Amino acid sequence: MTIMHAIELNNVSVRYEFDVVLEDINLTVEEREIVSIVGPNGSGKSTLLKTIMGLKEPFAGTIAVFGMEPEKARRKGSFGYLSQQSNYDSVFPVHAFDVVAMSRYAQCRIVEKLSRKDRSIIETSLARVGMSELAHRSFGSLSGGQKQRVLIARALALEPKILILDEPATGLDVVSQDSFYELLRQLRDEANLTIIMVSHDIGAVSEIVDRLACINRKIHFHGKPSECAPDEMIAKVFGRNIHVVRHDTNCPTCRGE
Amino acid sequence: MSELFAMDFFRNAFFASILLGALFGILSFFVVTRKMAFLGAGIAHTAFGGVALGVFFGVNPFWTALIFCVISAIAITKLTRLGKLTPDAGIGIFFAFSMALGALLIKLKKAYTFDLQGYLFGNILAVTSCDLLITGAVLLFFLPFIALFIHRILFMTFDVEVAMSSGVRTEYLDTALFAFLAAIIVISMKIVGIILVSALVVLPASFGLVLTKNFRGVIAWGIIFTLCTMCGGLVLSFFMDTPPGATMVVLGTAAYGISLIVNALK
Repeated sequence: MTIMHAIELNNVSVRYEFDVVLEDINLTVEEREIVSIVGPNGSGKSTLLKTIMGLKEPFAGTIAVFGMEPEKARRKGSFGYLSQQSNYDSVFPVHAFDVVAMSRYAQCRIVEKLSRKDRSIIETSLARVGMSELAHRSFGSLSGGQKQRVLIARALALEPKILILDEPATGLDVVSQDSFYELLRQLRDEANLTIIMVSHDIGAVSEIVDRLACINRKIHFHGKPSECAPDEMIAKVFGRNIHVVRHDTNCPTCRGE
Repeated sequence: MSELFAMDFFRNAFFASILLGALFGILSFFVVTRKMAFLGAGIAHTAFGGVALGVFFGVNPFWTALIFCVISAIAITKLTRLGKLTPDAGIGIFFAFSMALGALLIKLKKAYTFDLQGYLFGNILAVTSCDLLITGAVLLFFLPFIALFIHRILFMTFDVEVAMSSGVRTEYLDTALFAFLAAIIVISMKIVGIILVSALVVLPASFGLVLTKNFRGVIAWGIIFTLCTMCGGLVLSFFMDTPPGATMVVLGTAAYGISLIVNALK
């Protein structure tokens, strides 16, 4: 019997018009794993996330999410997705609670009605990100970091199997970032969540993630952060003009050993 | 006032105002929050081509306009979704093409004299029972559609990608919403003209957004605003002997302006 991976991409290539943005991607993510995708701007990180969820069709290769086609997984509410901040209307006339409730309504069949269970899921999700007290404030009046937390709560309220986070730490201050990463760890351990996130900050994420995938059109490195990405790889992905500051305590190279 | 309601044409106009008030009060919210005000105006102008097609082929222009606008609205959304066109460019092209097509066809059909004044400002005092029935029927379909899907439409409006990734069937909802948009615009064009239609798709929600920051309130205020503007404009036009459509637009814009000033002074 073959083992079922949470996510499996085989030789996936994606293009926008004539530009190939992802080429020959092979990537597997296991259940309860936290994987961070790093790479420079325009390297195809967000496209990779969209491809996994079936929002962007590849022109070659196959994708399976718990053995299903991405579209089917999407309909079942398998993906809790946090998109980049620029993608939503930040003055939309809704309360924070309504934003989180969207996830519960998304899974309604015909009639949109929140059950008692739905309400408790929404409340728990808001509590997890520390936003319970601001639940009935207008979304537009919240600060950037608070908005980000509400959107994370919305992704959690779907009760997904996989959390897909596109630059989740944007707008969060250092304290909130730390508690956010702690929350991710808890979610993996308690709710058996698989987590994929795009991040610019290799240093910060390498402390909490199980594996790193460095991409720049192709996958250049995919492994444990403790294996520490070699300098040549960093140069290949980010170019030579980069000075990477890593504070990865697990990494012998970083400790100068 | 009671003598006004004794007149058939005035009663019909009043009922039409109430029906359109409910339709635009709700529709306007989605048009404004999706930043599609231009699409509203664009479809109203596109209808001209549809009307001319009907005139040219000798069929009821209402139905050709309806079909033409629904198809245009869906085509514009499909093209923009495929990324072939930006929405404003798409609307601009359809809009100009339909107006030109309309002018061309009407010229070719030499015998026909086109009532441009009626087309621009409509004639709410000439509303027939049949118009009322059609408007009522659209409302009868539109209300349950909104009641069943409002939160999913809201999700899609707020953040379409996340809505899709969360399992919302955005493609169906989008198509249905645009079909309603086109249908509501075409039926009301005959009654109130394109100028008022263009105003009605943006003013109610813009007014609501000044007063409250929650969608329920915005929709409720939008309905109240449209009902007051339309019914008030109708009565006012009767006493001032002014064209009803134009009176409503001026009254509505004035009310919106006052709401902005009051809000700024708060």
